[in-house]
Amino acid sequence: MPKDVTDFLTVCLNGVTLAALFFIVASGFTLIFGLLRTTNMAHGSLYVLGAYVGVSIVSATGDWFVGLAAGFVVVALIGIAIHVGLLARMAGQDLRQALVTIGLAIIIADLLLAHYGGIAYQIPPPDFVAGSVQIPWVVGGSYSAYRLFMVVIAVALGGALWLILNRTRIGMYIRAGIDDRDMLSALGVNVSRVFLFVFALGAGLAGLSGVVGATALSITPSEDGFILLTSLVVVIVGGMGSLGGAAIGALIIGLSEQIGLFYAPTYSIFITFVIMAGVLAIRPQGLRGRPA
Amino acid sequence: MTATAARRWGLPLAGVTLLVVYPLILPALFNANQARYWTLSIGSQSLILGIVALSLVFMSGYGGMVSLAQAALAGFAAYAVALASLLPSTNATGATIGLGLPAIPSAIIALVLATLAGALVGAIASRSSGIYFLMLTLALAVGFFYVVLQNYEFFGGHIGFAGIVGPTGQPRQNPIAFYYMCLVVAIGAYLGLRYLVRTQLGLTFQGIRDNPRRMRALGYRVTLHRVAIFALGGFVAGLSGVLGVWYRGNISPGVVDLSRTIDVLIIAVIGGLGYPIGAFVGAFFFLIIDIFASSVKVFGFSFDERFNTLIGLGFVVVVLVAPDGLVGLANRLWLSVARRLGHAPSAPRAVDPLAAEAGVVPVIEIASHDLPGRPEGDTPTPSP
Repeated sequence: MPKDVTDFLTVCLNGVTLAALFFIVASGFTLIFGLLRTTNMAHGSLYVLGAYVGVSIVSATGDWFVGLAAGFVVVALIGIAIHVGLLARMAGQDLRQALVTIGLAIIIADLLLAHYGGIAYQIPPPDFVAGSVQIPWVVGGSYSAYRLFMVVIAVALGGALWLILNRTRIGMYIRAGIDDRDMLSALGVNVSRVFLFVFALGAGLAGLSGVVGATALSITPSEDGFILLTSLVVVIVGGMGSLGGAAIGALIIGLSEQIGLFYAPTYSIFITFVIMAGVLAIRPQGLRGRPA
Repeated sequence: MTATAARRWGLPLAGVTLLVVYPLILPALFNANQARYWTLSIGSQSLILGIVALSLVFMSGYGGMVSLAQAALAGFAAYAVALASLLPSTNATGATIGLGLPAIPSAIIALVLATLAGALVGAIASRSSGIYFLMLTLALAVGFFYVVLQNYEFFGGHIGFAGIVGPTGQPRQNPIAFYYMCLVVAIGAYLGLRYLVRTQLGLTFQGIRDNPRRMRALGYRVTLHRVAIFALGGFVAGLSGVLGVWYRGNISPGVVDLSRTIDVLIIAVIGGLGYPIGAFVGAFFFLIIDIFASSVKVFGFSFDERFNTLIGLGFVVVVLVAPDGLVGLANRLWLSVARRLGHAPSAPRAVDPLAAEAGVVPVIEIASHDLPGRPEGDTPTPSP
């Protein structure tokens, strides 16, 4: 196979595996925004927090999946505390919620820097995906098994979220709440409990994605800005509150970033923003979003 | 001068006088080094940060759009000044950059470009509204940071550019001239915006802020006006960026990173998002906290290296308990004191600009209807 073709296929594979991570990160953000109308500006910080929980737990237990679960649970609990302690008290005041989460993001980043320092950590992947897989059509003939495993995680997670949203009672409440919160409340559903569940789930997903991301890339306290940006761009392109939109947005952004990095290294972010502006010019609500 | 006029103009005049004599009284209080520090690092920097925060307050107050792109627009202007004023040279990527223009033409080019960039951000962002707007402008701002960080060809990558000198020369050698330049620009921007919002155009802006659909039905071009607000916001932010690059003498991606973007928002909120003057009050207090955080101890916990935790906590507290910021707090305190003394007709209203729906923050006019002794007050004066 000619080198140009293998180059391109490898870049695309990189894009897809990166998109898997982006989808996991953005799914929590879009769920929270879709139902609660809360812009969680601390989403990147929760990702970093989950990553550090993963670093500590995996190095203590040696089991990657325990770290993954711990990242989810610990950050979900912190999410519950944030929601009950702060955000639920200012429901409907979306600007104030955004500002409070910005304040939280600053505090979390600073405390993590104090505790873990500025050095980069990386979580070792689970043993069965530690090596590489033989793929004839990529550069070098082999590809990181863990990066392919990320795609598996993303697909499994997307499937699980789809099942929760479409096949369970709470999922029905969530979908109804995204359409019309007041009506759902009037029908006798305890909407604030549904909100709490979704916020905890979204925060937990941020923590889980932190563990996944810290294994593929690495983690420093300053990663929060990049993750927040990625979540924003993915859901702006895909459409706020839409899980399918997050998947499409993640694929577009992941692919364009990797293709851009390879073919026009100093303009890759610029390309991403041209895509975002282009989507907004045609569909201001995002590809799968509803008109506001 | 009547008593009403004294009340109307007394405080602003006192404030301007204080700002004008500020660098002149410093040598009497401190030694030469400290005086220069208070003139530049606190005085000038408060004004520079205040101008960019003013652009945010203007856009949120009169346009109903909380833009997080202002720090990036200021940084854009700063990069433009650098590229226009540096002598032409060929960098490592083979691109020849720098126009070698004098300071003032460079600044004019930078302001034109910042205005156009503001309009472009507006054209992209103005189709969304409310909280989407915050996210979109934040994404654009962080995107600009990554562009200048990645791009060595035109933006110098992570190093940026150095050796940019303003019309007053090196600020350290002539701090008072630099301070007065900042002061003139700051007062000009403040008064210009205060004037603008009283014109037909400004009233149209406020109409669009309050009810875009109705304004559209009345035949106003809502999107065009929003783009115009953005262009104006870009211009004011550009003023800050130009002064900022002359102050530092260099520009690098660190000046437009996420934390700077957030800093501008924090400054505006600490000062009071509903009050234009709050931008400068907020900037001053932000710098004071920044500088003196190292000596603050709470229950034996030193904030020496944890400035961000302190500012984050302070920010959350302000958002929770004093949503109209320090200026709003002072305003309410003053009114309740005046009421105790029997001058004010009614209890001061707590104004919560953050509670407004969909991120619309109307500006609160201090001087118009809350001040004591206003003759045609609509609340009855309690008879003694």
